Amino acid sequence: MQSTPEKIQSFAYFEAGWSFGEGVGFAQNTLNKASQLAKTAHTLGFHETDAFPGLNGEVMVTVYQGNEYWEFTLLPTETLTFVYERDEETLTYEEGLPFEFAISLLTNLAFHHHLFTMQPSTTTLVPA
Amino acid sequence: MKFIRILNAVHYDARKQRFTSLAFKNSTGGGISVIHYECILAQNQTACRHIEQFYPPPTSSQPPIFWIFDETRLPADFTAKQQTTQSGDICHYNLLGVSDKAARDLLLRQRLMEFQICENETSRPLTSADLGNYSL
Repeated sequence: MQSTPEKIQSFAYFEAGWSFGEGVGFAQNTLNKASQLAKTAHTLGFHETDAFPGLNGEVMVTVYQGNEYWEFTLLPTETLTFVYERDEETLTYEEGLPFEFAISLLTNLAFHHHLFTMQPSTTTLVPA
Repeated sequence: MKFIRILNAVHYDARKQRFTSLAFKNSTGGGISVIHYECILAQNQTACRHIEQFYPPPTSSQPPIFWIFDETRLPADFTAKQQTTQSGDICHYNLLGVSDKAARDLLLRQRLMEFQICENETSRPLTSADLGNYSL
């Protein structure tokens, strides 16, 4: 089974019109950032992730943890749309956020959810 | 007035058992691409035959999946602009004035069985089993 970063990189093979005549190709920069986000999530202890290709060249990275769900849609403009759901209810919907927001949020979430612990003598993140 | 939105199985989230918002979203600057259902019927066609004629599937193993919805489900100030596709579909429209958030809210309220999947030139309600074997 494909990892989420591998799935994201497979979008590079999508050609114009890939979805019933609709859909553009993907910029490598968008794919790389989405892969980075998925890898960061995994490193931080979020082991349930997925990714989906958008018709405008955007990539959606999704993160699942129990009854919580985070959705990051990276646009070719290098901004992102963020959604947070709990118990199937959308609690946050924000457009036009910078990519760094996603990394920062996931890091904070990992601490909040105690997904990893910081070793005292090093900055290495160790999954709990 | 009813519209059809063609859905792609790549947008199905198996964990959430729903289509992601990417399945019903504005194209960059161009609105949301749909087909006017009554226009199809006026040509004595079924939705499946119409989709197969004008919208070639990404893979031959993927039968078309689509969603029929009434215009009353859309925000009051939406407009529908006819735009014939390169493939020649005169029933094609772009929905304008529907924000991505409004589109997301509408799509995510639908249950899976409210979508249709083509089978032998007609259609039936979609099930999770139809999507279970699909992988990118």
